Amino acid sequence: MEATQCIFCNLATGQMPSKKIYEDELITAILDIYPANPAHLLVMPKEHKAIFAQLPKATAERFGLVAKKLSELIFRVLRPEGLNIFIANGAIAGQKAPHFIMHVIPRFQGDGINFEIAEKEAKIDDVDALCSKLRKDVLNYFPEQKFEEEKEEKSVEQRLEERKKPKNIDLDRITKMFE
Amino acid sequence: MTCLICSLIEKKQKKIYEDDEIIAFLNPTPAVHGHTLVAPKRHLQIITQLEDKTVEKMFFVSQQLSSLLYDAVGAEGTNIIVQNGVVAGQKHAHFLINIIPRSKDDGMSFEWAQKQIPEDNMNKIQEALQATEAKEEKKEAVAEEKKKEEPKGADDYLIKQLRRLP
Repeated sequence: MEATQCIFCNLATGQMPSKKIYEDELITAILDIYPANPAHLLVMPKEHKAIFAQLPKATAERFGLVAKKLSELIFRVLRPEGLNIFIANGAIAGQKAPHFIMHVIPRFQGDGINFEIAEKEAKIDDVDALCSKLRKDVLNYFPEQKFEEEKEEKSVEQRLEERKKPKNIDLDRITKMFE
Repeated sequence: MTCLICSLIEKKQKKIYEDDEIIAFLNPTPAVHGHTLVAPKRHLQIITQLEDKTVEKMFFVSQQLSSLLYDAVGAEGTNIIVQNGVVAGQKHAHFLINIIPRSKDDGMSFEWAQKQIPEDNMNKIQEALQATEAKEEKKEAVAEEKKKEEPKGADDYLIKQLRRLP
């Protein structure tokens, strides 16, 4: 296999040495050598993908399984008081590498790390409007979903047809930032 | 049981996805417009308690919903965050995946300082994790032949802590 320009591709495929903890045919997990905490793991696809949305279905599912397995492992070996799983898609979300990474970070009292998510009051109308919009969009991705306030009666076939139409989701916007 | 998440699930509040095992809905007290929660229908606390099939599905659904959301709210990025344990930010004793749309100047930041760990310690950690993983793989192979029992929690202490949450 040719060495590529992407450091993480090389780490994931073993072209570059790493402190590897886990590997299967889709995913590699290594110790972060600049960790948030000891045993901070970087979990990445062997295939070069920039963000979560670009992973094939089987890989996205495998990330879930690997997240669970690595969490079990860390709990067993380090007995931390908590554990965060963190993904950043896009520079604005904190993505630093051009290669998709899922972070698995053991947590301890007083470790100086903050993954708190503030909760705020929502404007009911905004949430309702967004909910209606999302339900329509979800039906294109998951045609068998049922929602009570469905206005249009579309058949599964009709929804599958709509799903084939190109969507205006510009994922390239994010990946271009790393080129 | 007065689990807020369980009651939101029961009422199907602001639901945008549902199947036999999992459900996704808009957070009624969102960090930002579009903050979505993906949860197992069963009242489980942390990731290690989920069945393999369920956690795989949760990640796939989170992936699809994060693409959708990104478009629906005009986000420039998204965060996917899991908090296991109070110290990790967990607020409800019910496992959740947070999908958070991000934009410029939204006032959120999930950054961390890098810690210096001596090479020696890093190697010890690597060895410990590798050794235990090898042991677990062996155990799994053996267990597959016998009838599987409820896995003993290496994380029982964490679950007990979460059960004390109001």
